[in-house]
Amino acid sequence: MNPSCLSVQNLRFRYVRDDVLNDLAFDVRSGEILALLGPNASGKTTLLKNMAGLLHPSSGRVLMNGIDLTDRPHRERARAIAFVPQSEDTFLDFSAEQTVLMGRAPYVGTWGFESAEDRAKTREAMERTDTWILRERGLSELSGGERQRVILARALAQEAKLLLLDEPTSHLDVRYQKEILDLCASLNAERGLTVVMTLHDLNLAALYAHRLLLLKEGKVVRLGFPAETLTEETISEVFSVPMKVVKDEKSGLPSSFPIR
Amino acid sequence: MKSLTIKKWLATNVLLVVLAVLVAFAASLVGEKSLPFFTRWSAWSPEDKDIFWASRLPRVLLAAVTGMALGSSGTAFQGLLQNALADPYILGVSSGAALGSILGYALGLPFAGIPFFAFAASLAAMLLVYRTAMRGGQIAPHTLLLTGVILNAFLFAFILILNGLASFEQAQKIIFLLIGNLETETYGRIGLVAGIVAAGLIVLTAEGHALNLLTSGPETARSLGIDPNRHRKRVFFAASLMVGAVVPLAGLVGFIGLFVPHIARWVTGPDHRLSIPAAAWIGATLLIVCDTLARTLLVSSAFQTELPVGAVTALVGAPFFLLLMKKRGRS
Repeated sequence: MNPSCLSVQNLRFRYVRDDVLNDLAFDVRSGEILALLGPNASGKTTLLKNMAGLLHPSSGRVLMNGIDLTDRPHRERARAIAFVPQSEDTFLDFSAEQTVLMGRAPYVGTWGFESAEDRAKTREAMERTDTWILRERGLSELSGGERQRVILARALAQEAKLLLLDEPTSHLDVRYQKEILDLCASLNAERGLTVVMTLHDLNLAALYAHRLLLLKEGKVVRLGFPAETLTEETISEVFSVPMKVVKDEKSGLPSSFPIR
Repeated sequence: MKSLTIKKWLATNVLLVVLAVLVAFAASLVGEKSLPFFTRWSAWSPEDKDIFWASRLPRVLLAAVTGMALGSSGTAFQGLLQNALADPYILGVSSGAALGSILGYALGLPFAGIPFFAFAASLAAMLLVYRTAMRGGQIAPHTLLLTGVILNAFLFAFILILNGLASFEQAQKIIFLLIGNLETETYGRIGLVAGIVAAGLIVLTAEGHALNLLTSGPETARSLGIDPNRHRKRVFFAASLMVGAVVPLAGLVGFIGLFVPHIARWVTGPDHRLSIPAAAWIGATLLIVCDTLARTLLVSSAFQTELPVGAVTALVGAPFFLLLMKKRGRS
């Protein structure tokens, strides 16, 4: 079995007085693609942000290589973990290249000027995501899919081993959904990046993720391979609607539908 | 917009500084009595030399330092608050500094103490506006501006109370402070203020990279490896210090901090590492021009009077503000 990349231990996260996450414990394995699934307000995004070190657990810990994320300096953490938010508004219209260069922030000096190496890494990340041709365009001029790829390039420029994505397919049509997930899958296969993402679409999750984690009301309901987690019983309970699951004859992957 | 290189940074700064110096020199020759432009310095009359050293140059220098402080702090505020209409004047930061400096003057402090009094008051004003507009990690843009308007009215009331208690001569000084007026000051005072402004500018420029990250929101900034709160504090501190330094001498010069950042970003692009120093030089240049207009517009007419510089910047700036609101509303 692969070694652990990130270890979530007795994680509890409280917002005002409500428990958003309640005593979660699991490991993310190195080199896997893990999808976090669950209904709205189940705590998926909150969990992801705790795993990114952007939110601090109310109690419990998130460990990376045995070190608590909250004890790591921000810069050091940013070299190990990259986070792609669901959407990002910027008040100033930075160009695609300027945006991706910001991914080098954990490596630049006091005055923030990028070195030739930073530029080379930026270019490489943009070429990998097919965004180099967009480099001089402002973010506001880009389509949703293009923008998502630019933000992914910024995360690649961070050279982190762990990539966390919050709803990378939201607001995208099916072609761009496939495009961004194919990109994640090939980065995972070629570079051994560990990928954790929240997803709404159970079928896409089954198609791309190695393991799925089902959340309901801030608790882990099930963690495992798609075929064993996406059962009619489990997902009907998690989403509180009757669901039907069909297995693809060739791949054995489960597809699920709500029942009218 | 191409990404920033050190070469581009240096070239843009040198160009803008040269422009500011040329404008400063030209402006100090213009006035009620024109000084000779094409004559060698050694051929100047002692009287002309005296006007240059004792009256024109200090005033131009004060305009430059004030423009630098307002332009660069305005750029930093707009970036940090993600609001294209934010500036120290509208947010009440300048009024805070005005109240602080009037209190300082009233307590009979030596001048060296006044900028720090003004700084404390402007920082307090800034934090009050910021805390009020902050909801769940997000700044509500309209609340921010409205809070600034209300705070301005509130601080003005205090200043008017002090004005009522003051002697005629002191009251005159307070009114000048409220309108925004550049007077000939001693080199010592200008030097002190310039030192504070230079220090603030260095800090803000060093914070430029962090400000770039913060324009995508605190969460993204954090994920890219910086602590948003630490950088916000530094920017608030440095920007309030600069405003606190210039207000005791220049008073409430409005709108420079609002439109100079837009011109700077139009010249340099959105990158704060360059737009902040650029806004300092452009602010200096424009405030020198505005003050020269204020000194000369009505002097040659039948009225024989000078305008306060705050009137000129408002005449230019207010229409600009309205245009910006209209443009923002459409997009």
